[in-house]
Amino acid sequence: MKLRDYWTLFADAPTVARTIGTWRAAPALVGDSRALGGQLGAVARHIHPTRLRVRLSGRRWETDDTVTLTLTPIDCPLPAFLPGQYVNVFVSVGGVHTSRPLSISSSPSRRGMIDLTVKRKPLGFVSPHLTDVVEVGDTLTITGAEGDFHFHPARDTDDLVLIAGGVGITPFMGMIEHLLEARPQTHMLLIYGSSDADRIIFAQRLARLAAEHPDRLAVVHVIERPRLGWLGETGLIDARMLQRLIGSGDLGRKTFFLCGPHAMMVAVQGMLADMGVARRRVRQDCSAVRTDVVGAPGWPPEVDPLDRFTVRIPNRGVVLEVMAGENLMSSLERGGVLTPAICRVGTCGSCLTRLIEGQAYVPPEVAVRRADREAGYIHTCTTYPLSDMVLRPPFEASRRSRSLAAGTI
Amino acid sequence: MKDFDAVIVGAGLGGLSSAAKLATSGLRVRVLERHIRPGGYATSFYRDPYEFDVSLHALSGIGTPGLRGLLWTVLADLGVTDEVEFNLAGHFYRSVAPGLDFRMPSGREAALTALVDAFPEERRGLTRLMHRFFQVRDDAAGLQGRRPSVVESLIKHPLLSHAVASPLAVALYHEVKDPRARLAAGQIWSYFGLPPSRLSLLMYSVGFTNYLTFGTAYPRGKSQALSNAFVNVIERAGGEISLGDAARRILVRDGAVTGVLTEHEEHLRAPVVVANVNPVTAALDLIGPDNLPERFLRRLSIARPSVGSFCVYLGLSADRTDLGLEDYEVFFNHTLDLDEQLPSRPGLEPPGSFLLSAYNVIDPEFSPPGTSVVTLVAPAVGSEWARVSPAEYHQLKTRFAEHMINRASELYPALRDHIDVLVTSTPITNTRYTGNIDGAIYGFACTPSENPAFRLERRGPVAGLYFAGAWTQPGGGYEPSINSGHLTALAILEDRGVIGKGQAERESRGAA
Repeated sequence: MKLRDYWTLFADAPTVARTIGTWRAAPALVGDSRALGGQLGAVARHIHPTRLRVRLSGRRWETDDTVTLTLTPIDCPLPAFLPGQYVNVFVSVGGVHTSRPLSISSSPSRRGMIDLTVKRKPLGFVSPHLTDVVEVGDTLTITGAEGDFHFHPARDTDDLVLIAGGVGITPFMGMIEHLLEARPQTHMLLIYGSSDADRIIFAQRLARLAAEHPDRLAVVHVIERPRLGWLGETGLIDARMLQRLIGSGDLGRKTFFLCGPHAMMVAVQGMLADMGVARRRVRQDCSAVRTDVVGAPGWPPEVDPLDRFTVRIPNRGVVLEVMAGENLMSSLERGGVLTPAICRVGTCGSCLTRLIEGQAYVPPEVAVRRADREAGYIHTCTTYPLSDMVLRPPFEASRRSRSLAAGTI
Repeated sequence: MKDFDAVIVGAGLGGLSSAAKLATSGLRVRVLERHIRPGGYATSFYRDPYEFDVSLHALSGIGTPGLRGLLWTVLADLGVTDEVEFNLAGHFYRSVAPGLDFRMPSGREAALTALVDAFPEERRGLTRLMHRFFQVRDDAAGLQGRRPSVVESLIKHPLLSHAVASPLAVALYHEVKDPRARLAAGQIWSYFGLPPSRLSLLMYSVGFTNYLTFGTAYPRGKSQALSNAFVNVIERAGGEISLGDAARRILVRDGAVTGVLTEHEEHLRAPVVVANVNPVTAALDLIGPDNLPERFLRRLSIARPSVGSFCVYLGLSADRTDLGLEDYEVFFNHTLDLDEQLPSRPGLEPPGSFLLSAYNVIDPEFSPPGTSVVTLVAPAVGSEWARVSPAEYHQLKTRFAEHMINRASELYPALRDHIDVLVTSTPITNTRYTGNIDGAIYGFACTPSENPAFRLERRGPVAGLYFAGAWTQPGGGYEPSINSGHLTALAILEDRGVIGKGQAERESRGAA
């Protein structure tokens, strides 16, 4: 051993001095409570804001039941996003605080604002509020951009087939605009099913883009109930139509993106599998989880959706009544119990709740981690009560003002 | 207002293990966790149909029924081993570099034989190096947590004294001349996040020899199963865990801790608070600098956080055998020069050196049949990522991921064509979920000045305040973090007179 080796102990001396200097000069680097995580924490909150206040600066009817809301920042910049991602929008409807995830329909190339496109559901609770009640100038609260439904150059091929149904076109609009502009090697075929020709969302924008990029974007509309004079594809998207439209090119070089109603997604997935398309070449939006669970695989036939049960939440001192046919998250919100929510379809994991007592139904397509299943955790957004229950949900994120942790990677 | 014997702020591994020890010793505990899941980095995430481990790949200190490591002893004491099973890797690692493809087996003799077979001209140096590593480990274990005087250390434990003050490079470069042999023997520097010129020789010696002696383990059910097992132990013993529930203030009056105020305005009264959060946040945000002595703040301000990580999580649509994945831990090195692998100011360039972990090799049930999961991890410097603008963040992540996937595909050509799910994380991701400064993954950097002997002490500067986790003694990583919580709990039990000093020392034997 050499004595001089001991000097390595002090090898960091310049850093020490520098750090003390930084500490003296700018304690805010680590000392400000809003600076949790130091400088990098501020960057993290910028890229992944837990909650963000935005202004509704424009609204535009796309069809008679679908509206595009344009959001602009109020006190902090809008989060960066990848086209195809969504934000969760928080609203208060009839005194109930709830939220709905909506795909971003604008391209990230357009800075300083984002568009969300929402369709009014006939008996919907939140969508009529967003289409008909909120007004330009109103303030809304949203999450940062989330979700994995986006093009990834290291994973996907550049020959894309986009299959949309109804309002499922929303994530594709930004994706198409962005890829046309930012990635010249991509070719896209959009197969877009609508109930009738008046209900085609973004019809003019799509037509214009296809005309501007005839060699890179082809748009095929499929109209379920065509009026006289419609010359395009009709009916529902079926296997023969798909095969004809996609052509005989090398299927292995194509990547498919699907977004639409649950039944359509399941059907198209089956058709693609029959055509020999590898599962990993098929990307689907996370809205592919059913919301009508009665009669779904595994649903106990003796349980009526209107059956009522009691839920106890000891750590909030709350007891509420819930219905078998409604997901627990919505029931809890009706009872005034807020839990962290982002995706509301069982993927983000932010509503992870301890099921201390009781029986529950979870649709088969919802995945729960093995360790969580064994430890009795559920996602309230995709869990339906089958008996009285005792739950321990996490607290709602907006009350954790300094929180960084709510969301997915 | 509620009364507890101890409130634990943070349900990372250090917080969970201290809470488990305190609860099973009869104390009333409440654990507060800001995130909705317990575990800190010891957690998983799901992308249909794959479940990825956020951080764990190689667990040290488990061993086999005939030869148990320290971690196993601690987990068994807490009752965690009744809940989790472990798989052991067949061998230690594979190291790939220009002009090198070396497989390191487990076991001291086997490792030395493999090194000498590959580099016969370095026989003498490699033998001495291995002897040094093990002697340092044995000397440290022999002290049983006691701090010897300087004279005693120099006379009785010269190699340990040297290792306490020196970086790995001093031993590695002194004993071994061939850069390929240096790389083969110093490869797991990245388990500590610092290249040999800056990495504590003591920490490398203890870590490396622990892996060689007790093998590389991985829990069934992933690291989340480990975290959940701690939760079960705590709750069975009557302890409470509150998730999505952050501490706002650690309350101090007259130089002593009095409890915790939560973000939900709940006042928890307790004479003991364990901070399992990074100590800078604990000191400045939770306790407040006015309640802390100047020398403690100075102590914190001279320490540097460790590296963060850039990770590419790959879900692959093929069985591992079809992808040619036979080794669990594979190190990709773009150069033989260990210190070139992580420059101190690397800029935002795609990492040349990284680790590939092929989980299905150690755990055949890791992913659904016909699929595999591979994670690529590179050390990443958090302060560099702080310069990234949000607009270029996604592009940068993609560029890094493509570079690493291309490099990995040189060895495993089928990899590229089977990517089903691809998720990347950066130091920004780490900070987002843990609040750790610079997205640090090992607490304070594993430099000689932050080795276990000098690292932040578990007893805080205010009566009743304790620290646990990677930032505290003995150090970062799974085994040290869990041990840290256990040692902190023993210190609390001793300070409160629940157990005698001798018992605490016996129980913490060898943990330094």
